[in-house]
Amino acid sequence: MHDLGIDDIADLVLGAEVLGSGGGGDSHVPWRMLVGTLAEYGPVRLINADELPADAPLLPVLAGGPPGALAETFFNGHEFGRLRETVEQQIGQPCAAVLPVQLGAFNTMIPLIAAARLGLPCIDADIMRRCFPAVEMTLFMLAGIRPSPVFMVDMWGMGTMFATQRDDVVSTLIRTSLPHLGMVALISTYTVTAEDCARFGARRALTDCASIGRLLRSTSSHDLASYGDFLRYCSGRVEFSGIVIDLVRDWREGTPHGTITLEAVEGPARLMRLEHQHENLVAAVDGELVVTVPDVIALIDVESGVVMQSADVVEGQRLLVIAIPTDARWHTPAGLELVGPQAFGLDVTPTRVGGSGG
Amino acid sequence: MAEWRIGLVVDSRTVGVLTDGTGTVRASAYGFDVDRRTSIAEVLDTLLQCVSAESIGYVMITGLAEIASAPWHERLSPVGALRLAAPATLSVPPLSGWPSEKAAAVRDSVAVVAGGHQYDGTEVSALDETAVAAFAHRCRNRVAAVAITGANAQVDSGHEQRAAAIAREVLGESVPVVTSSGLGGMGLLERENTTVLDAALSPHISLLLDGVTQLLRAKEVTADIYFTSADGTLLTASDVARHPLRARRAARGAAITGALRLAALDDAVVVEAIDGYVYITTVVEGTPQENLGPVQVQGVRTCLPEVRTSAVRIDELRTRGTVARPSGDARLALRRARAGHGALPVIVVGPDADEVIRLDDGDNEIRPGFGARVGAIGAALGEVSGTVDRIFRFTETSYPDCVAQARRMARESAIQAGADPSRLRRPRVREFPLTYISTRCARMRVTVSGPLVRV
Repeated sequence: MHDLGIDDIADLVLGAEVLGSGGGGDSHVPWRMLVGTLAEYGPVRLINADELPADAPLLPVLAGGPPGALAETFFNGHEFGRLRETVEQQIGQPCAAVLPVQLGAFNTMIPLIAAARLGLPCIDADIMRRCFPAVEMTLFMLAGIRPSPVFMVDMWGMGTMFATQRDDVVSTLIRTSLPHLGMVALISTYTVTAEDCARFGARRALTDCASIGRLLRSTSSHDLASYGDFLRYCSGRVEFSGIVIDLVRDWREGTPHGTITLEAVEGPARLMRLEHQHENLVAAVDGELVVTVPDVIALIDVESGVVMQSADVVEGQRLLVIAIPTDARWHTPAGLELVGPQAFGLDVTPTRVGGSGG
Repeated sequence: MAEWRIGLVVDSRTVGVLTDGTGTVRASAYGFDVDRRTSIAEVLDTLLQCVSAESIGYVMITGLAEIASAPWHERLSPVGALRLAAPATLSVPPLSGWPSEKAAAVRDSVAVVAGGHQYDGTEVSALDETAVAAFAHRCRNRVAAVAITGANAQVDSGHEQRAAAIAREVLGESVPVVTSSGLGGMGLLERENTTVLDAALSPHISLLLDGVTQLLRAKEVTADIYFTSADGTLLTASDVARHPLRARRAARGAAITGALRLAALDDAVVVEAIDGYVYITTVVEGTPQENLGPVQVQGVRTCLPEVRTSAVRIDELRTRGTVARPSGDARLALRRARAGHGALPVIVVGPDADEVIRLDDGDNEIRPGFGARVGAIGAALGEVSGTVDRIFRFTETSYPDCVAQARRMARESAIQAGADPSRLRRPRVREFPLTYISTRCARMRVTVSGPLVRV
C-alpha cells in the first residue's frame, strides 16, 4: 500500500479495532472525519521512514480524551495546522512526515487526517504496535528517546506545551490537563527524526493493520474454521469461546478497571476471567494464565462480528477471545518493565500467546 | 367514570383489547382489513359495544409507523439542520455518512454555529443568536421542520431551547422544531442524525396522528392517546409528533410489557412466539435489556434505544419425533438470556406460544395465555418513563450526590411524562466507565418509570 484512499479505511479500522485490544476508542467520528478529509484533499501517501533523509523531523500525532467526549465535541480540523505550527516553531524546522503513535481505532485515523490536511506523507509505522493507554509506553521510550516536550492543541485552537524531567508522569499530566481543555485535544509528543523511526518504530504498521482487518472481514464469526487465514497472518489463537456471565467495573477510585467473566459455550464448567483497564490486560482460564499484556487480547461479538471495546461488553453476550502476539521487543525484560502486567499494577507472571513466560 | 383502557396493536392485522387498569380483559377484537384505518375502526366498533365511549380513559396504540403505508422516502420532508457546537465539530458536517437518497430527501438548509456545551456544562461558545436567526430566515418557505442539536445538550439544553425559540419566532408555529436534548445516548452525530430524521418524519406523522385522533373522536372517544415505544413504555401524542422514531418497533416492547403484567413479574426472560420464531428478551427491574451499540435506521446511525433480543426459529423449540427438548441453539439462547441474572423465570407468550415446548427444567416457567392479545394488553398497561443519560463528574460533587441528582432528574422527567408521582418505581441506574481519562467520572443512564396518573 503506497497511497491510502477512502476504500482502504474499512480494513484499516477493523484491524485497528483488533490491535486496540479492547480499547482504542470508537471509530465513527474519525472515520467520518477521514472520509471527508480524503474526499477534499485526496489520498495520503504512505512511506517508510528510510525513504526520508535521516535527519528529517517527523510529526507524531494522536488525539487525547475519553471516547465519550471525543464523540461529542470533536475536532474542527484547524487543530492539525495549529499543532504543526507549534511544533515547528519549537524545533525550528519543517516536519517532513506525520508519524502515528498507536494502533487503536481512533488514533490510527487521526494521523492520516493530519497528513492529508497538512499535505505531508504518513509514515507506515507506529511506536506501540498496538494500543497502550500512555504515551510513555512506546518503543521510543524503550530505546531511550524521551516523550517531552509535549504539545497539545484544544478545540479553540489554543496551544500548550510542557516538558517534564519525569517521563513516567507525562500521560498523567496530559490527562489531568484535559478536563480544563474541554476534554479533547490534539497531541504531539517525542521530537524525533526519520532515522529514529526507521531504527525503533514498528515498520509497516498501517499496512499490517489493514491486512489484519481485510482477513478478519473475510471470516464468519459463527464459523471458527473461517478464522484460519486471519489467525495465521497475525500468529493469533482463539483462546476462548464463551458467554459473559458477570461484569465487575470500578472507576470511582484510581484507574478504571473491570473483570469480565465468561463461561465456555460448551458448558459452564470452564470459566475465563479477563481483567481490563483501558485495554484488556490478563486472561486466565480456570485460574490458569493463558495470555497477558503486552500481547493483544481482542474480543469479537459472535452474533455481529463486531470487535468489542471492553467497556461496552454486556451480560449474555457471546464472545470469541483472540490473543495475538505483539512486537518481540515488548517481551524483553526492559519491555516488560514498561508495558508488562506489573506496569498496570497487576502481580501476575507475563504470559505470551501460546502460554510461555515473558 | 373513565375507568377503561383500550390497547391496540396495529400491524398486518389489528388486535384490540378493552381492559381495566389491572389487566382484566373485558373484550377483545381483531381487524383484518388491508386498510389499517378501516381495521382500527372495526376493532373500536366491537370494543365500544361493551362499554360507552365516555368510559374510556386511555387509548394506547402500538405500531404508529405501521399505520403509514407510504414508502419511507415519501414520509421524509425537507429539514433545516442546525448544530450548536462551533468551533468544535466543524470537521464533520451534519448528515455525513447518510445514504445519498435519504440525505437528498431531507437536506435543505444546514449550518453549524457557535454554541453548545462541554461535558461539564460550561459553554463551548456563547450561542451565536444572530447566526441562528440568519439560519431560520434561510429556512423560510423551504423546510417542513427544523432539527436543532447542541453539543452536550443532555447536560445543558439551554442553547437548544433558545435557538428553538428564535426559530419559532421566525418560522411560526406551523413548522415543527425538534431538539435533541430529550434523546438519550452519547455521541453528537448519532443524536443529530436522530433529531434530523425525527424532524423529517414529523410532518407525515402529525398527519397520521390527526387521522387517528379524528377516528377516535368520530366514535366519541375523547380519551388521552398514548403510543408504545420500543421498550414498551408509553409516549404522549406530542412526544411522538416530535420524536416519531421512538415509536418504532414497538410491538416487541408491548408484548414484553403484556407478559410481565400478566405474570405479575418485574424480572424475567420473556419468550414471544410469533411468525415462525421465538424472540427472547431479558427483563431486569421491569426494563428490557438494551443493546449498547448504535442503531441503524434506514442506513443512518442513530442513538435510539433498542431492546436486546435473540431470535430462534420456532422449529428448534418444537417436539421433534419423541424428543420434547429444545435444540442446542435454543438452550444456548436461554442460557445467554439468563447469564448473570440467576435462574430468572421464563414467561412464554405470543400467538404461537402453544407450539413451544417446555423450556425450563423445573417449574420456573409461566404461560399466561392470551395468545395474540398479549401485545394489546401490554400496550394498555404500559407505564411512562423518564431517562437521564449523561456524563457525571465526581470531583466537585461526590459520587452519591451525582447518583442522587441523576435519580431526581429521571424522576422529574417521568412525572413530566405523566407518571403518578406517588407510584414511581425505584430508579434503575446503569453506569458505564469512561476510559482514557484520569478524572473521576462516568456515564450514568438512569431510568424511572411508573404507571399513568389514574383518571
